[in-house]
Amino acid sequence: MDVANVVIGFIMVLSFFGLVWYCVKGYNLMVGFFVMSVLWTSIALIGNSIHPTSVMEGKTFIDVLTNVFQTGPENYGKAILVNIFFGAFFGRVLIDTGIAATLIRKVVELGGDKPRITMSLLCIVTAVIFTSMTGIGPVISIAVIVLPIMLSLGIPSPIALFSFMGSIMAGIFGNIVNFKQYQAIFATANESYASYDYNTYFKFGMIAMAVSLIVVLVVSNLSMNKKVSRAWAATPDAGTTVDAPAISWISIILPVIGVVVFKLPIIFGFIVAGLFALLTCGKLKGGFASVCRMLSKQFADGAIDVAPMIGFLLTLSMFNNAATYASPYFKTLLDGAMPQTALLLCIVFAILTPLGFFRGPMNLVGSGSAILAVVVATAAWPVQFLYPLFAITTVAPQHLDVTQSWVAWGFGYTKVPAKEYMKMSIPTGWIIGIILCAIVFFMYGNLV
Amino acid sequence: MKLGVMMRDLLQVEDEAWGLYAFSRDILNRRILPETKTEMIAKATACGKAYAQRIIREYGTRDVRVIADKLKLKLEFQSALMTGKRVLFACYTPPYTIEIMEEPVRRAAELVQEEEPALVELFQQAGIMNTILGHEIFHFVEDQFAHEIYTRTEKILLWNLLGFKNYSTIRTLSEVGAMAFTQELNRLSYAPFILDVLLYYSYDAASAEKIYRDVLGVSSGRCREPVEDY
Repeated sequence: MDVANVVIGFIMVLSFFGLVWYCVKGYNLMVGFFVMSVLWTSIALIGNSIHPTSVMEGKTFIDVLTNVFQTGPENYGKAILVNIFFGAFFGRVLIDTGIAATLIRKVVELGGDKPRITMSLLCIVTAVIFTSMTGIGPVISIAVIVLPIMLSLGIPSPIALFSFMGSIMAGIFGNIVNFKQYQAIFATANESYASYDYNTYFKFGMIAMAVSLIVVLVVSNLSMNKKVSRAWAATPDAGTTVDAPAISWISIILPVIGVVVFKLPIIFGFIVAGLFALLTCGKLKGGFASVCRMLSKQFADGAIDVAPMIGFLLTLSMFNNAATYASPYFKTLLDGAMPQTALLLCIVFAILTPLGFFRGPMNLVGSGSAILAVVVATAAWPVQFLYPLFAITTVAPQHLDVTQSWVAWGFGYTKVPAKEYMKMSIPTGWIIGIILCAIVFFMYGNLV
Repeated sequence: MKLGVMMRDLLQVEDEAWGLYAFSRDILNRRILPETKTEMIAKATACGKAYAQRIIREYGTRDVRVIADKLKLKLEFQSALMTGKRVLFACYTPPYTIEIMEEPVRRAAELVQEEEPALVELFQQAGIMNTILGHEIFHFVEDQFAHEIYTRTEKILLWNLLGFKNYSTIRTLSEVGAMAFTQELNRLSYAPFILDVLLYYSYDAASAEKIYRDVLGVSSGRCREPVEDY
């Protein structure tokens, strides 16, 4: 073991803990990940000058800089930004046509004044909605409908917030835009992983969605009093919005159906589903110019919804590429400790799922891309096995986490203390991680 | 719009209109026919008043604080809780806890004193507090008589699938009953629903005015909600 590599590895681990601290403090993630990219690239370059590593073999200083700060964001943009923009457009259409709000009102009317049943129905419909929608804008648009309903039913605000955020997390397991986002990170780590598609992932995605929704609902119900409270509160919102026609409701799942059943490209799927929603809701009236204006506005509104996320994703892509240069040093530290069998890897992922919180080392949209590079370097894991494992430790902790933009918004909206929320979210994320890692082993362990 | 003008208009609004306003905020609003709502409001109001009389008889007092004490209710005072546009005034959590938000009450009393001294007599801080406490005591009483009290036994059929039926209580009826209960207990000359506007006003005058317009709309029959065809 080379002493210089060990020292550099420790410095990187320390800087990584610095990033975790930075994330926990709630500082700007875009800037944080950019600084980390610069830091890890610099350290890796210094390390390479002391003891050359295989990942920088044949590369000049400029090649490394180009790979981290140019190719990273460029590839990321090509792979996912377009999907995100069209996903956000589709989300805006679902909000503007009133389809999402109508579905929510309908399930509330099915459940009635029974908090546990209505909460469960709301969570199910929220999860389904977020298999297609993405971004903080749609989350807020749905939250301002769902959360007041839950509160008016006497559900305590920490439980209302947790169950709502938990059901979004469940939906994200089946979300095609998120899939593309994480798959792009996988393709960066190993080019052969680029062929892994949503259809191959779909079965596990649906199982993960169902399992996580059940866990969220069980935790929410157990946290609730036997009898719910009664509140005297006033609101200026009378909720007299007109319902979207029943035929339009199917738009919610059209993009997923398009991709899975008809093998449509996802952007085309979003466009078709969006137009179908607009057509069935009677929004494509008033002349060509007016419809064009509306479509343009919806696309712009969607872009605004995801705009805060874009800067972060672009610096994250720099960090992902920087992490590949950091991987030899992590490998030096973890050499011998990395599991070599499917069972052991599943057990390690199950145990370490909480490290996906606070953008931790198991989280692909955190500092997990470095770990991914290490895991990929240790053995030839089949992507059908490895992707679901990382999806678990990314989706479950991240979308329940206080560093998630919409969760942070939820704290401000409901005035729920973060500590009270985390008492439910962290154990839930861990339980989901354990169950799903076991499922991955049984479904895909034989591929290893 | 000035608070005084709104309050004077709202003091004229009848119980039925307040009930319809409460229904307009109910998740099941569109599942109930307008004539059924009117009937339910009348029954819930009568229920609230009857239980107020029953409590007065049983405990020999109208003083809500004494009644709360005798019922072993634990009173907690919080500052304020605003979730989005929803302002919480008070909350009853079974079995024995009542939380009252002090800030909206204090701010409302101060506002009346500054802007409309003529109404001070009606809306003093202690009086508002007692009105709210009386309202929450009703929810406790409801829990004790859940199997027989109208506001908990009245149900509507939400759906019927192959003989499997789902009935639901209506939360608004509890609120209407609680308002009638506290009105009777505290001998108020106005419907306590008016506090929705008064207490909200100090947080967001424009939204309070929206509530005011909703109430007047319902009162004048302008706002008829669409009812589902079921």
